[in-house]
Amino acid sequence: MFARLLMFFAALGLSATLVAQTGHPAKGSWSGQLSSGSESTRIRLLIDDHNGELMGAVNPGRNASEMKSAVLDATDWNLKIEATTPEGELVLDGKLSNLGSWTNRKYIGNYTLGSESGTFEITLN
Amino acid sequence: MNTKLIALAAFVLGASASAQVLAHHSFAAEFDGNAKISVHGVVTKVDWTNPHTYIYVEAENEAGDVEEWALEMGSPNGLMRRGWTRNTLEIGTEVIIEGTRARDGSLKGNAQTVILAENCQRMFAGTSQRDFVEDESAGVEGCTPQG
Repeated sequence: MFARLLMFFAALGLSATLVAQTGHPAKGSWSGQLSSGSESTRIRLLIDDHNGELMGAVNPGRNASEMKSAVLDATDWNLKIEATTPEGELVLDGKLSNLGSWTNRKYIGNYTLGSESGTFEITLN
Repeated sequence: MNTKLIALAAFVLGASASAQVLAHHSFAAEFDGNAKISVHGVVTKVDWTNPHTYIYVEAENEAGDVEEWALEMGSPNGLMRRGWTRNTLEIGTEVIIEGTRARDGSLKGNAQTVILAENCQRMFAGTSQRDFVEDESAGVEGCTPQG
């Protein structure tokens, strides 16, 4: 009986670790750079998951722009995000990588912002 | 058989608790109480974990480069006793955090106060620095409410 009780508490102690393994791979707070030629601009994303549907904001805070769409293709981990920002229409089109990492998960690809275009590299915070 | 099971369960319990035990430390071992910092930036993440809550902030340094700071606060219980909730600091909130820097010079600090840039509201961060006094009557310097 005593041993079973101990096993129960041991399992309970591990449960937090197990719960931490779940969640949508795009969910969370992301930060990185948009790069166009020699210019670079800081960008932050806040992505949430509601029953598999992604939503969120570009540059969350006082001047946040709500995402119009955020679609992840799980066959190749391509994530496309669209938003209307004060600087123009923003489209991020790239791939998620390092999905097993909580500290170095990347979202890398190409972007357009109004008439400007370039590449981006964003990391999960 | 029972003895082996008990020993195994005790080992697993000990192993699962070790991360939290390691995270607990004395203030003076990690932070220099004389190395004051003021970090003005945007919240990118808040980890409500025991024994310390951590707030992560992106801030520009004097050269204009973005730095990512990790700032230790009190325990979740300690913060809630001071009026904090899990929604007090949302991602993207602009803050000014005053505190002390890590002894190793990394971008890590111990937060004493968190000031919301929007309205200059000051909140105490439950620092473990023993000689820090939470003076409610002290003014908030270096903050102008944003329109």
